[in-house]
Amino acid sequence: MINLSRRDILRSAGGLLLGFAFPISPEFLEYDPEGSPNRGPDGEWLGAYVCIDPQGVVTLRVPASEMGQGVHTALPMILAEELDLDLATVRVEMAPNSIAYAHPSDVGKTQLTAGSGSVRGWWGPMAIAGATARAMLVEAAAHRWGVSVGSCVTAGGRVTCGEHAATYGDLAAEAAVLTVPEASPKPRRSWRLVGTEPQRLDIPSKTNGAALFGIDVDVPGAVQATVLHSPVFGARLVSVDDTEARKLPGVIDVLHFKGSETGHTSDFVTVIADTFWHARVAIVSVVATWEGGRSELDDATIERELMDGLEHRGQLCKKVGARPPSVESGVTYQVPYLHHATMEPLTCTAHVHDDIVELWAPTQAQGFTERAVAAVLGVPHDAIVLHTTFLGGGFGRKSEVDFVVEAAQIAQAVGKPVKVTWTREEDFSHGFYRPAFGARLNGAVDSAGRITDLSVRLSGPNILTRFVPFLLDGLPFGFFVGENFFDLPYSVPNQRLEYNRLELPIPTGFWRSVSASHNGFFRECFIDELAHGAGVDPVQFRLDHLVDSPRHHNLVRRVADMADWDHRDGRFLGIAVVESFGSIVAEVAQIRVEDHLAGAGTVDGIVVHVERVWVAFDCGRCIHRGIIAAQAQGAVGMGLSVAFGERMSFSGGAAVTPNFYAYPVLKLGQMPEIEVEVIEGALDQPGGVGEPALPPIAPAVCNAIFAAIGERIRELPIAGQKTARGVIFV
Amino acid sequence: MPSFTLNSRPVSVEVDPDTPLLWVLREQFALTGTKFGCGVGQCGACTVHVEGVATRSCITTVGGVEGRAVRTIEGLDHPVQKAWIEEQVPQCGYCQSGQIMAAAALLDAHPNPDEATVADSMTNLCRCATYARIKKAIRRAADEMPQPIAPQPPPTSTP
Repeated sequence: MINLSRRDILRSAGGLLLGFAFPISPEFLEYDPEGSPNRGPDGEWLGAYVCIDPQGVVTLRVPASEMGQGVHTALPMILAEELDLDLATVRVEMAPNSIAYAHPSDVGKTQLTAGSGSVRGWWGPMAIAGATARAMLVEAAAHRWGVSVGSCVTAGGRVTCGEHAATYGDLAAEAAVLTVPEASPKPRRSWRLVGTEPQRLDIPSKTNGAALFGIDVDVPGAVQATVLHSPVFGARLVSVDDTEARKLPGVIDVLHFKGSETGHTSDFVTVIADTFWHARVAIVSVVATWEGGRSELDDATIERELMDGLEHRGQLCKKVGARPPSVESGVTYQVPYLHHATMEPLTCTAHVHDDIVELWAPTQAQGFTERAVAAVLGVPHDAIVLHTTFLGGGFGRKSEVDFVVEAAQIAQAVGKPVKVTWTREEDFSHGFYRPAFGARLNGAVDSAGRITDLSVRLSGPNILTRFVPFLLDGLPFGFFVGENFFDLPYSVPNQRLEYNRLELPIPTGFWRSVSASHNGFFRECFIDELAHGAGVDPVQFRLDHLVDSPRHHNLVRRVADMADWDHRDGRFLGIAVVESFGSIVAEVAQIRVEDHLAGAGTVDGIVVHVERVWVAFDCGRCIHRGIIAAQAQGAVGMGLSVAFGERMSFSGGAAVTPNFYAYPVLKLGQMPEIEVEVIEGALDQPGGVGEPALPPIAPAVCNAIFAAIGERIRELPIAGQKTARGVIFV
Repeated sequence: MPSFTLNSRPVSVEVDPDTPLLWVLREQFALTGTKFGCGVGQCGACTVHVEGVATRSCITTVGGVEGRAVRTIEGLDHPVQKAWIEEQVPQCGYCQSGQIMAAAALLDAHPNPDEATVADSMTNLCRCATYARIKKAIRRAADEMPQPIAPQPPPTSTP
């Protein structure tokens, strides 16, 4: 039984002991495996995360999806720390969908891996849960031996007291029946695992083909399917001619579905076959007729709407100071729609049987998925049994529910297990893209080199429109649109921020680093413009304006030292610093520019090579620096890929970027040397790790290009931009 | 009925010879370590060895490997795999079978590749951008692999 007073105590323990905002939920400590959609291993459960079998094998359940960010190592480290376990001996298991595994933040109470929030959210509750399980094992041992709890010690999965010794496996049954005690996590000085760099637990299986991704799920008796959606966004299915498709080898059925009334899916056609390859061949022969949508929509109309949004006053979002500056006559920046392009195309296996809907999916969003599938299929929530596999990349795309709901709809119709795998072309043309954005910025610097005015007007879609349309007018503006301007780290006495929201039929969603991916670019390039206008060095100019933001100030100084900024000696460097998800990252890029030869000795442009990047990363308390450094390197690489050449194109109301040949993802040969310094700053709790290193790289590179050629790049991608020396190649 | 050698074992399979090798490996032989990424030979997630050469199996028909030796990640035992663990390369891991197959073929052909050779050979996409550690792992594996015996210098008298 949970009583409120203990819950309150736990909440305050979560807050006071760890200085942490997230409370521990009672479900984490008292757990009934029988009530779970997936019982898990046989053994004694000490809370929702820890199961100990009689042989002493300890299973640690991780509520967050592993999509490369290392959370299936970082969270087990926190539990193993408190339980005094050797990390190499534990078994790690992905948790099933359950309220017991909802993210600890009070927002939404949903199981979700997003917002660089897993370690940030679970850090406190995991430490308390681990400490609680350890306390129960110690108490069981003390009872058995008739000794005091304080005289027992734990190490290597055993409790000892003088001559007495017992393994956790031996004590688990006695521990599990005890009243759940109040337990405090270890003091920091006693840590022996957190802060070290053990090998990631998921890596061996990712070097021999054994790791199970969504696309690898093999349910006995399953049929294979692939799907086709309307090329034009928002069009409805009018008719389907499947005569030819049905004649093809292996085809079992061709079905079509109306988009769900709940808005979770749009109309789609599916071919069901004995193999994916047969389904993939046959779907090309399906003649589907669609009607509606905005067929005049293309790259030019999108750009025109973005620019129109910059021409008139928008919703006033922030006004600071007596003299609101005007944005007119400012400079214009622009970024395109981006695709997540996860290496694993969308896929889900579903089986509706025995009054349950069983799903195997590479999803970031167990909670949203459970609710959506229940709503669309008309079944109760507790009928949804969701097995989360490894994700072959997520980056926000797999926090959407569309691909899982469709698989469940198909499975319900066919009455057999079905694996649905999207073609890469469907994956590209039906994304939830990072929205295109435009920005107009204006500013003024006084004779002392201080920014007096900064005004910004943003124009672009709001990704929240899809989720909470009724709230848009009342929402605090900063959410997913105005970050990095709303809380400006630079000291500027007069500020103005406006936003014009665009309504376009192109689906948008959460994309690695979300709005910081564009606002970081706009802001950090424009700060560089102001520095240049004032005749002040860009590093010094930032330092001058960051006196009230000590974490930023420290990072700018540190990264400048790493890059030996003061001794550039002909090297072309650019700097940027951007905060997101509780962390701050400063980056310096070093570039080289050479002529691009069109042949016969003619020069038709310039080639930009990014040679080196320095990263100073303040993410607060560190669990595992090796994983943090890897995330920083990877985020710089993905951000560079975006800066160099990524852009979704649209024509006739449809996405017309079909595959990687039209969407140039960075290759190994373009990867610069990247030096990362992880700085454990003043923050006593962990900041985000997966996303924050992405936003600074594009502005750092563009500022370096200015240093090299004296021209500003105000539009991404860089490839194809025009300069006085011709077009830029990368 | 296409016949070939798969991970050192002779196999034959009843499929249309035009079927991509990728889908034969995944769906007929349940060798799911080889991944589907793009279907058009662009990303390299489907890389396998055909007669030791890194080959994109999504654009290679099973008929095209008739009588030839195919190796997948499941049948690979190569120093790069150890180096991949030591350098902690994978993040999401989805492309890594293909990356490892490409790196193994590269090192078998060029046991001591320079940076340009690595860049030219390693064209597989990694959305997590694990490239920095891929480069380090290839270097480590090259350093640890037995190198071809170089011509011996003439014997010198021992002091």
